[in-house]
Amino acid sequence: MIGGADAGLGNRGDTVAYGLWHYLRDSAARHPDRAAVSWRDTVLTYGQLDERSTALAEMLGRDGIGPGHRVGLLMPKSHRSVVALFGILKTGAAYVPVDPNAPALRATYILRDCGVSGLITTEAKLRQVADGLEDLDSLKAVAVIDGPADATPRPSRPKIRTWSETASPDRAPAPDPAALESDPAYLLYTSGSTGHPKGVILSHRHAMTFVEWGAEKFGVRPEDRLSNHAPLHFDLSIFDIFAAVRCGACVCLVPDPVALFPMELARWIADERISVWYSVPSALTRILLHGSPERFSYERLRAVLFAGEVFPVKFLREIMDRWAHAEFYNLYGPTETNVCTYFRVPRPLGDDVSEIPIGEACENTEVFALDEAGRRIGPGEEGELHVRGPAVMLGYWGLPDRTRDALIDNPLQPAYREAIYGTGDLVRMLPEGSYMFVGRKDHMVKARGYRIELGEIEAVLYRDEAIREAAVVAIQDDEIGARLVAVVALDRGKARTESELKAFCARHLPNYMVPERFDFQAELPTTSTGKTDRVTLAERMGAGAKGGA
Amino acid sequence: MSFRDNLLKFIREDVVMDDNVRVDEGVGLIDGGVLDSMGLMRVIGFIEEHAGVRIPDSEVVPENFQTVGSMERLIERLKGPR
Repeated sequence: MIGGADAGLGNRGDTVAYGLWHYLRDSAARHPDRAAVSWRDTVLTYGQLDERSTALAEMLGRDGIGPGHRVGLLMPKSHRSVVALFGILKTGAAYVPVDPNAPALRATYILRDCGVSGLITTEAKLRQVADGLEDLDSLKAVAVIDGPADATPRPSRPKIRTWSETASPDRAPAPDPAALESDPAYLLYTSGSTGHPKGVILSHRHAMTFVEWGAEKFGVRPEDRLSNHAPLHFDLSIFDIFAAVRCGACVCLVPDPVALFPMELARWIADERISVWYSVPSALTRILLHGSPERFSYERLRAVLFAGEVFPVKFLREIMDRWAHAEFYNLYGPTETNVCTYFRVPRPLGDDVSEIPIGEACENTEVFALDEAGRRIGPGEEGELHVRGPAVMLGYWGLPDRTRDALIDNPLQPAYREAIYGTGDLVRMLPEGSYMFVGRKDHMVKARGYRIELGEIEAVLYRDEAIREAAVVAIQDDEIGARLVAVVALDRGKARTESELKAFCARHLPNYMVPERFDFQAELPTTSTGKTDRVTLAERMGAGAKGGA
Repeated sequence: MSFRDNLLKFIREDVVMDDNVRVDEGVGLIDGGVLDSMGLMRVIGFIEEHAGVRIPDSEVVPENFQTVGSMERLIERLKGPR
């Protein structure tokens, strides 16, 4: 487990600290020539990954980046992303992955919100965010991975360096950064109901709690080839990258164009001889429905993990029949805790099964559900799922009030104070003590595994002066989870078209949060207490969506 | 407007929705990272609705969606000889 006999000594006195960077150091020492990362035709060995990330860490270190700092990662996914991620961690700083497809306003909001000291990016992406970073005082260094182009406008103060991939051959192993496992390792920004994304702060210990559990539960070995389908700003990537590196296995990054085409993805999994697959259910559904997986043999595939949203059982049953020799696991957990429960899907999956439990707590984590009175529920009852243990986040970046709301005192422990995380997910306890996801307490929904706070979209819409009232409803969709419809009432005398409102949303929100349809009404229905009547709206627009899990 | 113009307008205004991203006949929509998976699904929906063809799964491959030109060639092929 964490630390142990071969744990590295940190630089803070004699404190034993073991961070995510040790996974790479240890695997590089054990088998430097084994494949660590595969992307398109490029394969990096553990030795190369270690050397290149150390070179990057030294470059960032020379610009003063180290423990207590944050470094943004804004680039399309490639083998260089993994180098960058370990390079940042080796300085002792935390990495902040930003969706490379996010609109510039959102990307700069995130980089400014957490006050990055460094940014690793491409020329094209730098061009999009340069103006927004011009007066960001914290920014010390920008590393551009694809060479200088003088025409690019750049933030004027920080040093811009071109990140050379060539590492000097006689490099000494990187010294341990002066960071502890309780320090932030990464910040993941998720949808926030107040109109801006919020940064979930996660420590090395948090990540390792999950990675150690997953590596053992799924028996990851050096011979394994793990897929990485999720983008790096999505917490599914934590397992793919760090479980692979911890175990000396190879992480195979799905190239962006391949991920778009189910036929290509179905072929890629076979060609890459993937043995452990992890993704949102909708990716598997697309392979099943549109990828003709029957064309290929998947003999190496031994474990299929899915998380992020509810998997419609009819599709799960079908893909389990297709991949008859693989074990299937439903993993559950919000970004604030990463995976905290799991369920091994039984074979055969009987015809009478209509929903899949989220299961029981991971062995190093505790979960329980509380009813509205704060009492722990029993079998057959419903309540909000709470999580305690080392997996719980440190907090939301710069949002002490939101953090206090989310991390509550454990009401089951009168003897001492302990922060636990209330997930906002409603669950039913099953007779044997595991849990079934029932729905959300609030207005968060999932589409393709992405968390979407409907309130964030509404807050953006309200920034348009023509909008008097706005509500966004989610229409359930088996294939992608939810489709978004915005219902708006305009101010008298003001006019907006659907495409104008879409374009306005797209300036502030990632594409998956832009409503597909806008419905214009004279006014929105209200409940007896004067609130927007979302139930009536959802009925008018189609069936409501179930939300997360 | 020609079908090609309509398709470009749709990709610009309903799919990409970002003035910083260039969308024209010469741009590689797949290799250039212009279309994401949701965008691709919308483009397929638009073509099926407005060009009156059904695109089978076997034709949803990168080479058929790289540019608006390759999409037009796909549509012509699916419509068959007249």
